[in-house]
Amino acid sequence: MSEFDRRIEILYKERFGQLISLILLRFRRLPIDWAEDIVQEAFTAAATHWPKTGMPENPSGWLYQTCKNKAINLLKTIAKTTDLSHAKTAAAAVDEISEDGFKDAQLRMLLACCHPQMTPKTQIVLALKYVANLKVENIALQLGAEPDAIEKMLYRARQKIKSESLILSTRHYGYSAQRLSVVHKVIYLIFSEGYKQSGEKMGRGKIMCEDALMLNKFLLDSPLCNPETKALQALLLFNVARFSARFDAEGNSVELEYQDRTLWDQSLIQLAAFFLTESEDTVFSPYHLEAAIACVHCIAPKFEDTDWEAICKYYEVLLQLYPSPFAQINYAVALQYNHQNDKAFRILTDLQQNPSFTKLPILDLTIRKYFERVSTQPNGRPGPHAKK
Amino acid sequence: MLIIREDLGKMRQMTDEERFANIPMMLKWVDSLIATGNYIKGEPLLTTGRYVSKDQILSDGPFIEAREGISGYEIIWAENIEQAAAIAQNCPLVQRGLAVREVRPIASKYGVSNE
Repeated sequence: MSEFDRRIEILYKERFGQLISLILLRFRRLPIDWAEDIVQEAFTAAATHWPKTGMPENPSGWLYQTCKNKAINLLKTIAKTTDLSHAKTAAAAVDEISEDGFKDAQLRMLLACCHPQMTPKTQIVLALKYVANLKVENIALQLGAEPDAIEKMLYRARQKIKSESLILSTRHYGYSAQRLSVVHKVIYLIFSEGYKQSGEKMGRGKIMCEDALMLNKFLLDSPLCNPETKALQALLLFNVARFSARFDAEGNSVELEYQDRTLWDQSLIQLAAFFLTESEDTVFSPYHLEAAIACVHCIAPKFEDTDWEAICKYYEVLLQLYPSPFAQINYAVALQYNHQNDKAFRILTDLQQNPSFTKLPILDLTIRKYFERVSTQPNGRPGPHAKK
Repeated sequence: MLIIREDLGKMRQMTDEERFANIPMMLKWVDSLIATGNYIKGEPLLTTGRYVSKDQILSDGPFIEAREGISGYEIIWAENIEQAAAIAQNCPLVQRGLAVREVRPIASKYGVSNE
């Protein structure tokens, strides 16, 4: 991969959705799939031009300008009078989009993707695609689904946006309160994806985590903020606090047990705890419980001090309220550390026998790790056979 | 990270005692809610308009236990699976019987998994 290819790849991951959002804001009649094609073409143009002309001074600005010109040309050819007049004025000025402008476009896109006329799952898939700029394969992994299914869902969503003229660009945040829950989930998933990748050299994972924090910070400071927003912030911060200990100098991940806890950022842990206290509510969102679990890890001075019993208890409540195979896998690991091998084994084998979960790579790895732990436990013994 | 810096400024104005007092407090309210069983009541969940289990979207998340219990897989380049297996066989942990290495081909060029 050449230096240009690499830089274009980074720009693509950072700007793809933001550019679509900016183009949709500029040309309100443009269907989303056209905007997507335009942005795609602009990146192709960059890949051919830049190696010849050198990198422009402001690559994002160059991309935006190229998208805009392409949009104007497209609108001219189809000669929609209303948009044409708009197009003429737009063509006159070269506008500079500031960094804030790009970030603002991202937030608008996020609120827009969480359109109540679409199912929550579709909203999330749309946002992961156009706000987090995730590849379809990665969206599929996050949701435990097949890439084909995600592709189809995106296709249908675009059709629906077109046929029902759902406006994806939004100027007002005021009516977005009902969308908040899905917005939280999207932020959570953007973070989760970044968190997994945060050891990569390109630092893309870290950018995604920052994106998630930035988006959630916006919610915290807005009138929309509710206890769930605060619990989510706490969860994100507890995890960010442990960032630098999670990877060694070569970028290999370090298991929790062997992480150098002096590298954990105590002030971030305190800040996270502050938000968790602030998030007190009469009901639990999943973020409340996941943050409590992360908190137990963060306050243990040594791995051996971890209060696994508390963690198991929080997982039990989490699973009762929000059943999920992903949480179950983690619960099983916690159970094993809490010396409840049999129960852990049963959960893992039950999951493995469910055909819809057999494709979760983390399940496979966890089961192998289960046996590894059993063999190294002082009084270790293998789990019981499935038939009893 | 600017966002955090800003909040950290606020945190620094608190004394150590104030900051440390938060931690047991927060786990206490979580525990008290669990103890009273308040969290099970379905009604408050529904009236707040949150997505409860019926509409819940299954997803992975930044869970610590499983993901950070596995130090990851090594990605190696090999001509074929036999060569890859031979390389794995030479891992010192495998030699000493302390670990098992599973060898699998990677399905596609990009982004299937970043773990």
